[in-house]
Amino acid sequence: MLEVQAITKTYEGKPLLRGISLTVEAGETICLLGASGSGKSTLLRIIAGLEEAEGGQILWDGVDQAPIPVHQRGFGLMFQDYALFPHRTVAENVAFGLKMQGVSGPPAERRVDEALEKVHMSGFARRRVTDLSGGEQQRVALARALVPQPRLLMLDEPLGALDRGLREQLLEELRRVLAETAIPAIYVTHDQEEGFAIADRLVLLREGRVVQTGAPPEVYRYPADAEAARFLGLTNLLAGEVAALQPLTVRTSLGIFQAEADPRRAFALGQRVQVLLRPLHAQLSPGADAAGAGQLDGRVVDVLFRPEGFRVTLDCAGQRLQFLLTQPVKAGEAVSLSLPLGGVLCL
Amino acid sequence: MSAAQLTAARAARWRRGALWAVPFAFLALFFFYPLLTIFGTAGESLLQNGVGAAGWARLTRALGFTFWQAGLSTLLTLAVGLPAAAVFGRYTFPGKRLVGILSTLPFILPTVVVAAAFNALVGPRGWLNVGLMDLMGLKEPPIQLLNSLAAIVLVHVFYNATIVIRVVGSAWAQLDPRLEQAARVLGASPLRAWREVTFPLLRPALWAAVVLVFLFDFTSFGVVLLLGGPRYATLEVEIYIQAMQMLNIPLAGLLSLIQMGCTLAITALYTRLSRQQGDIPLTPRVHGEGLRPPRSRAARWFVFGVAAALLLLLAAPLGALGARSVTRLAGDREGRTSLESGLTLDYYRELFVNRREVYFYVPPAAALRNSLVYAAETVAISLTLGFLAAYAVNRKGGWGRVLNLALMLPLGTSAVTLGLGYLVAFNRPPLEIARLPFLIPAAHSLVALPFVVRTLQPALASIPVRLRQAAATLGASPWQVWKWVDLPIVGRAALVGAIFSFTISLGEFGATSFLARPEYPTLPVAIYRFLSQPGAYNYGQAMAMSTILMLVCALSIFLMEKLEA
Repeated sequence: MLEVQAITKTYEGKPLLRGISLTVEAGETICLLGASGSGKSTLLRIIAGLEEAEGGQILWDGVDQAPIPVHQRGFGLMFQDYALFPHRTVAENVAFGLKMQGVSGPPAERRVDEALEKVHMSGFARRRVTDLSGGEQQRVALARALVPQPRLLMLDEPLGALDRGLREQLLEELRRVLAETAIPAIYVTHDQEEGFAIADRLVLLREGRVVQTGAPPEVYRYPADAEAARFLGLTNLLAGEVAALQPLTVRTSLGIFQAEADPRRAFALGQRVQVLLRPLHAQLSPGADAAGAGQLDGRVVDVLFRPEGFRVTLDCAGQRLQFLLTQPVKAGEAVSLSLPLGGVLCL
Repeated sequence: MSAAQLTAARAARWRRGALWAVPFAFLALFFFYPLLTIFGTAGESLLQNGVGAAGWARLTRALGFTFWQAGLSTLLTLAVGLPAAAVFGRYTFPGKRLVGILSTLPFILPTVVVAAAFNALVGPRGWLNVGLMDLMGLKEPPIQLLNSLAAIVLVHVFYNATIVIRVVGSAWAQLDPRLEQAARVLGASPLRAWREVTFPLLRPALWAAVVLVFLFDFTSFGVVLLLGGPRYATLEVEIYIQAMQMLNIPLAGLLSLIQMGCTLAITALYTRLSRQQGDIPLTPRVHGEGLRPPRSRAARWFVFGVAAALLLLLAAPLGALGARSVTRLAGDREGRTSLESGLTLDYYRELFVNRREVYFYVPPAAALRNSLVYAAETVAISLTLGFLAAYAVNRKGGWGRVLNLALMLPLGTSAVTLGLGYLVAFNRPPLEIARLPFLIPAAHSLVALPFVVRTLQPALASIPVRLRQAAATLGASPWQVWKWVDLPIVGRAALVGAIFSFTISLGEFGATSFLARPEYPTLPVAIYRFLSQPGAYNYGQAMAMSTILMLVCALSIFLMEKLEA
């Protein structure tokens, strides 16, 4: 359906987007994940037609969108801080798109009511948008974007301005609404948790380029590189080199580990690589009895209790690594962890 | 309580009382008393003699013309100001700062200077006419713009386009550009998005600007007197003519009453509208986020065209004035056919020479000296009263509020009415205006005071009470607290207030034209006299004096901007 081809854009002389290509299929929600300044919002604005790309094309069902002005594209955009019209009521805001389509009277009212019901804002129709809380504004903005039934819905950091509890609740609702309406959507965020929760497909952006594309579990399992891993919250990274190929074994300053890797990638003996130690897979091992590979020794620097376990920071020969353990340990204690095959990834 | 405590408490009460009592006394004597005297004199005489048919005719004509020229000026000001507001509110462009600073000049330029500037541009001895006569070999100036409605309206546009730019432009700049974009994404064409979103959100600011511009056009005095000529009289000019030329004080008083009624009504409307504007909630956001350089070709032409036109409107008259004051044109002597121009400082040199042996002739240098003296007195009076009033207003008592309101009243009263009031109230036995040289600085202070208080009051309010308390516990007396805590903190604000009242005083024409004694003219009064007399040297000296005044005002603006930054 939507095809973004090699979009380039500079901002104040610096390249912002350097040839972005991606597709969105029918009914699919993709998530553009990237740090702030990675050009995600600009890409949305280019797709919407609010800004012009300097190179590349936006195609919809194969038709170039360049000559089509913003208001005729039929793409919905939910702005970062919602951009609700302050001089109109909730209902008037939601009805705006219909009004532009020439739909008014009872049919419009019915659709506005339905949309407000869908976002749990039924009682708010006559309220002023400026009297609403952040979460309520977010819901109204969603209803306003959905009511004209856009061909594509784009959401620019829709939960960015809200506090944590509300975010999780609204994320659930967004998931439900997007699934119900089956409108293809592009969801922009810098928060990987949001991305994992909402996306059928993740698109990782960095410095104006697509670094990686794939379903969330796939991307989480095989991050494209060390930086992608770091961005996804996987921070235990070591420099190493390939010591053996069958099975894949890496040598690092902290020991030799048997590792898995993206099956699509090939490695050469002696190749310099980055090694990722997954925080969830490590276990306290009673002694050095485990079979050679996968043993890590360190001193406990810090222990933090979390509902899902104990987040332990280890000092391993000067390098700080974090693991999530099921059993408590004491700060200052020397421990050794065993890392099973799935816990070590070669990048 | 011991006797010492009682004395101290009484002294403190006296000090507090003085805060509002002194400014109040000043207002009572120099504002309310003169106004009430006008009403009394006018009412008494009218009840006895009536207005008379001739009086009614003049009155209705003046009233009608005032509304007509104000309406026309407002419309044309909008026509110029709105595109400029769009350019300033939406775009960044090279030279924006320059045009912006230039557009603050009309706020403070005295009417006589602007009148002289337009005279230098389009007057019979102005650049355009002399140039065209030279080019086409004409004997008479081809452009007859002075003494016409067109001149009045043109200068009103010059003065007030800035207001539209400020009020509407800043509202526009504060408007979240995403609102319009949201409308576009929801299917609105550019025109529709403007109609449905941008315009409704700008409407309150637009109305506020319209009313404010109308008010200023309505109360315009110097511009109409100097450029309109004898045929055009607004209410203000008619007041002047009746009081100073016809010596018909009752009719002048009646005109003043009508003028005040109209002004009050317009001000009330403005207050209501600006309160409504506060109701429109705009998304809080970083200032200037919506500003961007023009992208499309059409936008670039629009921005360039509007900025250039604005620059021309603002800079051409002022540049013409400065240039004319140092240029001798052949037309200044006899044969007006060939343009022999040359640079000269004669007009400036002549300012210091008392050439003619005329009884009332005063060399311009003396007028400049008078102006400086009055301005210094005005600064002293308005700062002293301003500090007292600012403290009183900041106290939460009822008197502070009353004083705050009373201080704003002179804003809504025209300087001409004030001048007339002084004339009527103080120019009778046993008082005589000739013996009361402090009337002019008093009037100037009254005009400047609301601004001075508005500058000082927030600065003083921003000083935490704890600072003063800390100083007091360290042994500082109230006077020492003021000197070592308050004054250093509000020093900048006080300086801005001082420069402002100084500039106001230097340029004030409305009230001064009633009060200046013939042998003690101020600079604006002298410019008015020289402009209305024939002769190349008179003209040149008027240009020179106006240029001096313009430069002083420009310097003031520059200093105030520096201090406020």
